[in-house]
Amino acid sequence: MRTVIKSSTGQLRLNDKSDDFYKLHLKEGIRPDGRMLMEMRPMVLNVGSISTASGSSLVKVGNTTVVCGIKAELTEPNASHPGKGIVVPNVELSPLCSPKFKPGPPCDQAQVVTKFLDNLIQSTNLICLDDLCVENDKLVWILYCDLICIDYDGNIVDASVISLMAALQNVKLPEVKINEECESVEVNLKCTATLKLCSCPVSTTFRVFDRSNIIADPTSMEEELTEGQLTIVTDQQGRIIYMERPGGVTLQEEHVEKCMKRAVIRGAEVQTLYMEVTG
Amino acid sequence: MPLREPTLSNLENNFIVNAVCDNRRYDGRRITDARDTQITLGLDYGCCTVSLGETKVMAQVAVEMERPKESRPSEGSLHIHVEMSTLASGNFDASKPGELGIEIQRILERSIILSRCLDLEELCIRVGERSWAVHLYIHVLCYDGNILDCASIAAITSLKHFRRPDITVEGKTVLVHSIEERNPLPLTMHHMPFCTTMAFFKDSKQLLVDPTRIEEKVMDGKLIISINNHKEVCCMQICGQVHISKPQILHSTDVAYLKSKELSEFVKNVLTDDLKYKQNGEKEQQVSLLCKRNLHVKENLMCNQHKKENLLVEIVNPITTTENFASELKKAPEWLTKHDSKTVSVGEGLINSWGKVGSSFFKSIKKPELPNLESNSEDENDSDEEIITLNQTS
Amino acid sequence: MLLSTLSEMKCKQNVLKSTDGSVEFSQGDTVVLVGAYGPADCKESKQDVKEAIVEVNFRPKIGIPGIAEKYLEQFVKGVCESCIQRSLHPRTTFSIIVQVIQDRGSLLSCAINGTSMALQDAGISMKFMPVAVTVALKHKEEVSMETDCGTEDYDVIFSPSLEEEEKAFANLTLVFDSVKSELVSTYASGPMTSFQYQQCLMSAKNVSKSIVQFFRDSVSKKLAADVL
Repeated sequence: MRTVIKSSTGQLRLNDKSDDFYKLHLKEGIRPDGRMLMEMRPMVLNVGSISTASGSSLVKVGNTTVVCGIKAELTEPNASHPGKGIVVPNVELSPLCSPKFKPGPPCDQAQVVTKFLDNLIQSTNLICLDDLCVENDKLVWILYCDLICIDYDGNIVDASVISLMAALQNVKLPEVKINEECESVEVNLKCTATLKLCSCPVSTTFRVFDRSNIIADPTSMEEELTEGQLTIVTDQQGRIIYMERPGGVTLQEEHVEKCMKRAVIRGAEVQTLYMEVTG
Repeated sequence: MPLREPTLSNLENNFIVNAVCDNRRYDGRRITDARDTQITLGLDYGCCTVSLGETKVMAQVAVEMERPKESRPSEGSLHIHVEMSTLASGNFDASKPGELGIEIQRILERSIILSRCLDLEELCIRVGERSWAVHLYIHVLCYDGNILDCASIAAITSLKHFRRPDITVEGKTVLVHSIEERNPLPLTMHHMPFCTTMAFFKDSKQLLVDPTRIEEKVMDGKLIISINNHKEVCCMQICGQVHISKPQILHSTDVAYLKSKELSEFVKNVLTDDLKYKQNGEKEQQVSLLCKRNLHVKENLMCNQHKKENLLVEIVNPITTTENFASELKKAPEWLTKHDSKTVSVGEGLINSWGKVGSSFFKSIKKPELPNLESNSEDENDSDEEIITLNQTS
Repeated sequence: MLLSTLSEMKCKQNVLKSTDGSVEFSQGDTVVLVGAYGPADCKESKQDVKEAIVEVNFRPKIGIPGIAEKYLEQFVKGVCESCIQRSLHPRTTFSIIVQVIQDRGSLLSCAINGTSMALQDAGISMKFMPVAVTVALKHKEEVSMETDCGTEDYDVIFSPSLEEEEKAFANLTLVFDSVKSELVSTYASGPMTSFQYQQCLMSAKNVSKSIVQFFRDSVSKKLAADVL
């Protein structure tokens, strides 16, 4: 289905025909993969997939697959915030998941998604960082959240958010005590506690095709045909906790409203998924 | 994006050299004249923008705590970073400083750090454990020759202007006071070294102070002298194909000293004025030195300010009554499939590759069975078994 | 009817000799310096046969650019890509450098407004001029006496300072086009209802019109200065 030609400059690009091909489909209100415009791809969520990690999850949104593993380690706190734990998200888009990524240092897109997740964690106070403190100024938990995409077929943001959230809900931290007398750290692996999360965000991504056709949950091909995405993150109360559209075609208010409505419904769906896996 | 550096034609080249032979310069300056110097101070401590003619440099000082070097346990440190932004010239690469950037950084390090003009011992908090590291960032904003002189003025002004937060040491803990809590402290500086660049032409017989970008391209070589207000030379460097005689060096040193003296007075005045301005609540201060030409009148015309009456804003309520989405939340997805205690899927329409393998399995557990799964833990085991069968079929 | 104020803007054009277009733009106490080059030569490996590419470089004052700058870059880049008439200049590049001079809140909108003026100063053909507005929603510190004027318990602040941004429960940056006042780009964080979002959107839209007027005045002042 994907028509790819190699341009003289050695760049992979979609054929012009695919643009027309798409327009013909949109005229009928359907997308080439059989979905309606606002329909999402089916999603599979599995938690605890990696036994060596403190928390993990695997998410498939259509063919886009993201694995998230969270490693909890004990560390000295940051001098400026002695009583707060640290959460470090990192998204990896390697050549494994798509030929459009090259080996080497993280590409722009990976950095942007990483910062997006970081902003999301910070701005919504997702994790109470005080809970991650074992002893003030001495010992705190640091959560390394590594997200690896193994199959890239568009909409990496949604898959990353869901996978990160599911993995965070899955995290089990052992009880840690500091023995004052011999100044050693005692870890009780039998007694574990789950993380307390302040909110439960779900993100939904849209793209605009030809100014008026809004499509939800774009595939990789759809991403190449359109410019700039709209990502709306909602919480369990249906409030908007994050919204991002870095550019692209201009939007009218009713379009934004339509997307918000769809995002809230989608949010409710995924919330149920979270509930099911965490019990 | 690095663009190509524009080349100079022979005609231009000869024009400049011939003018220099007649003790004249293409912009009307005398040979020992520097261009107009302008210092702009903002709200941030330790930040200033200095322009020398069209050349423009911004400097910013910042401090952070670090563990002192083992060889010097009772001293803090000063680091200089020169950033050659693509803003300054199209042929600069933002990711690497390039030859010019490295040269400027080295000379500034020699002139400021090695001349020990900043009291580093004062920056020590606890011997061998904590000290302040001072970082001086030099951002080159516009390149029209002689970045170094401009950068050295910016460096000294920003170091002088900077205030670090006050601290209290109690036993092993160090308490940092915010600027609101306690008055921040200035850095102690023993002297103020300023660099002066002199370009040499015509078998090193002709000398020009403060060369522009075009003059830099034509010149044979240059002599850089960093000298402080006590007439002590802090750093001297000769680059290019020049042979400079002893009397010429002595003469150049005198020229550099005069300039340095003038600049140190100027910087001191700017900083004392700044204190007054700050007390009056002014936000920005701009002072020019040796303003001979009528440039600034034009600049003010080009600066547009928002009219005060335009600043009032009305908050509009959306006319379309956006319905509350809360009702939507209650709707559970109709096509949720729970595979085992840890795997759930949602969605209909196209089936992904997982679904293809176990499409028969997907049908086996449908919505009606969901309540049972939740209420009865034994059912969970059943579904586990089914997962196994799925694996077998695949 | 609620009222709020917008912080004062200043725009100094053609400040750097070396760039094709440059602007020192300040919004309240936040100051950025934006330079634009283009359409310029492009490396062959990066060339696009159909349209020009846009490169944005966001430079902080302290330290080297990190992922926070990359994130802001993506907004400026997205806005530029949608406003510049890129198909007029295939196989070329537009390069925009944003240097932060003083950050006192509303940095993103200041950077985008600055970029808009810098592109204009460079004489780059655009479909529209992007106009950015930053809005913060803050809970009222004390419940005011006049509770009858509305049930809202929050303030809408335009061009918030750093302090206000920190205290606010929601921060939004909205970018509109100058022609139809449609939404080009948006950034919003913090829990807010869709009503609140729409409210900010509508109010910011009105504000954007007065900023467009400010852009116009700046351009005519610049042209007047050139004639003198």
